[in-house]
Amino acid sequence: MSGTLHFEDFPAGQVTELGTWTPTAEEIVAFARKWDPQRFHVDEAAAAEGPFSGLVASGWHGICVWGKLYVEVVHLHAASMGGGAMEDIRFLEPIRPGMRLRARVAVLEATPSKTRPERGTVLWRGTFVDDTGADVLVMHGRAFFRRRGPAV
Amino acid sequence: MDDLLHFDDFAPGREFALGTWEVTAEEIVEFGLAWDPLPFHTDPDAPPDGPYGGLIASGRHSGVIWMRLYVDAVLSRAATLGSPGLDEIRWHVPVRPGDVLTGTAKVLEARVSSSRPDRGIVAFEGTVVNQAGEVATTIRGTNFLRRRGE
Repeated sequence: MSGTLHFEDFPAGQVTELGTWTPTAEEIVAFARKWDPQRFHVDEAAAAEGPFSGLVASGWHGICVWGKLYVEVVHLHAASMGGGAMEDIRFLEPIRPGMRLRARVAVLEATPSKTRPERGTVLWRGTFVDDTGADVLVMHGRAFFRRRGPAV
Repeated sequence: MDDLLHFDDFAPGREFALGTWEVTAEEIVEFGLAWDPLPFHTDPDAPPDGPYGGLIASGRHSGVIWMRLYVDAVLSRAATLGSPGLDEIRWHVPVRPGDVLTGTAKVLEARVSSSRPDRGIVAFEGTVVNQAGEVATTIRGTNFLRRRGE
């Protein structure tokens, strides 16, 4: 991308592809050992007997990988002022080793700030989609971007 | 395995103390580089006049610190069946190097699943409080847990 993206570059309805993720068993276990060491995330043998009949990624792992892609593809090229709350995060399908997932972000609303005229808030919907097109992980959040040009 | 916590042990209002976690600059930068590479999460010398007044932890970092505390104190000794999602994560004040965070998890609601009577659905609120007593992060979500005897 050329130039720095500003609030005005994220209109409602915009959809951006963020890249792909094919998780390996090794990275699922490595993340979970550190942050979410439940048996079905860290122990393949125990996971086979567990509620998911196999090893699955921590939901937080999916959130973190998606977030990294969003930062790398969008925020690092933008006048980003960080993010606000996240809401309505749904773990719709277990994330298993070898799945081929595509990350996507859609802008639901773009609202200039009433109290801080130099910035605007983007309400986004982030997804990981599997190769059948089904949503696997869905989440919503708010991101803040500086507005283009002099403050109005 | 009778000493495992089951759905029946998660009565509304019950609060679990999860222990503490000391946050270092090294861990903030390591997490930021791995998962949230914005400059104020990755640069140990982030300027104090920057957007957040120096280096701060990624919001997702404070989220997974709470998760690790919750797993170590509760879920690792519970008949957990996973989670359908999180309703809300809110970041109230930044987490900075040297902060000592204390986690709690409180049961908000508990009901037996109507479609799968072997399990119950527990809604919880997790809280991360810093050493000054400020609430840094709150997390509301849901766990599935097996019912005792099922």
